Amino acid sequence: MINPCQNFTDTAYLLQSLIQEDHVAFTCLYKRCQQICLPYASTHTQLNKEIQEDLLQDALTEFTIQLRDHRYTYQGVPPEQYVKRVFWYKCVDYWRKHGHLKPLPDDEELLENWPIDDSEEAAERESMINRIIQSLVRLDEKCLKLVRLFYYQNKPLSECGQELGITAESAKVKRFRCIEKLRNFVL
Amino acid sequence: MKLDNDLLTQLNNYLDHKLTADERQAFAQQIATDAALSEEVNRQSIIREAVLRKEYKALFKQIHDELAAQEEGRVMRETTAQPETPGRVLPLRRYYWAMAASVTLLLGLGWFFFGKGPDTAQLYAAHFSTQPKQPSRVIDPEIMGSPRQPAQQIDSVQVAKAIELLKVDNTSQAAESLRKVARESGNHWGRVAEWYLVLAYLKANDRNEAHKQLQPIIQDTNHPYYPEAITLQNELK
Repeated sequence: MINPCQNFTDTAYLLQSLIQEDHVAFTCLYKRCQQICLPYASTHTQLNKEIQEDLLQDALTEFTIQLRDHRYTYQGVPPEQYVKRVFWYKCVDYWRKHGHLKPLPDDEELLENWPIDDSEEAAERESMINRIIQSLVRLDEKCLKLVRLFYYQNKPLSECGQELGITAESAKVKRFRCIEKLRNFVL
Repeated sequence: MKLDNDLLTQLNNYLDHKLTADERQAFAQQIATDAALSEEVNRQSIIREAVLRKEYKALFKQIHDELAAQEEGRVMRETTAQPETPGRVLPLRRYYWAMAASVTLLLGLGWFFFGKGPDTAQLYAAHFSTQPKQPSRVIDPEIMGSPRQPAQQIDSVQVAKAIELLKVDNTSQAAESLRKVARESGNHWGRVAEWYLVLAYLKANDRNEAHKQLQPIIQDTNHPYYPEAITLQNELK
């Protein structure tokens, strides 16, 4: 097995590659985070491996969006350590939401710097995001593709049209309608 | 404020940090003074975050599956690896006979290779890579990433598993899996499967099938393995 991290000894280069959506860079980050997060969770929680993996994927998703939105910038905390904090937050949150009476042990170092806003406004926003995620599956295939091309890939209308085999003008009308449907969930 | 496509694009570019510093500052000032626009920014950021979460979660799930397939292959290799038998000490006369036989065999093999072209095993070893090419990414800094369809995720895992099978010499099972992906997937991974199928035939020493399988690849200049296929075609001649 070739080590996906062999070219990413430099953190700045890894982050740059992640911003460019390099698949090997994502694989390297996943591997590094897996190596530090899962053994930690195994010794500090009773969460099973599947849940740990799922929470790790959530934490990595959170980190990647923060990186993309310039909410994470490298200031001495390497990405894998930052992901570990997000991961631990998610473990604690999962534990609480599932009504476990026995609290998870506090880790002062990790608890000092919550990388996630846990205010009431944030909780409300979180519930709306989850509503939208659930509503995405109800969109028809073309709508889902247009929404993905717009928000995830930031593609212009001409390319959206090409991808769907329709004119740019039709893509424009269709995309607007699809986004309108999603907007209604947030209104 | 009237929401139209232009404003939607501008909002998304703002949220995705695609505006220049001056444009961003001007737009931020507009948001600060227009409550309806500010509300729409919030709404769009929620929709955008939902889409990004869905996409990145799927990406990390796929990476998890790929790494798990690689790990599975590593375990398979370890369990199927034959323990080395300790070397026997040959009597001196038998040693000379063995030397003579080796020289004859080498001469014979040399004649065979010069007469029949390169060894398929050598070609396989020269072209095989444990890391298949990834779907091309748009490197325009204005555009981030490309979507991964659920079908592509499954196909990439199938290809990763087939590569692991090739590594553990389970060529027939690898070829079967690759044939399925190549036949049924019209995406990038279907094309990657076509190339690895050529390599599977080489590994099985089936020069004719390898040659036949190469043809659709060398006729498609946009194929991800087009340059490698041209090289291999020349080497096979």
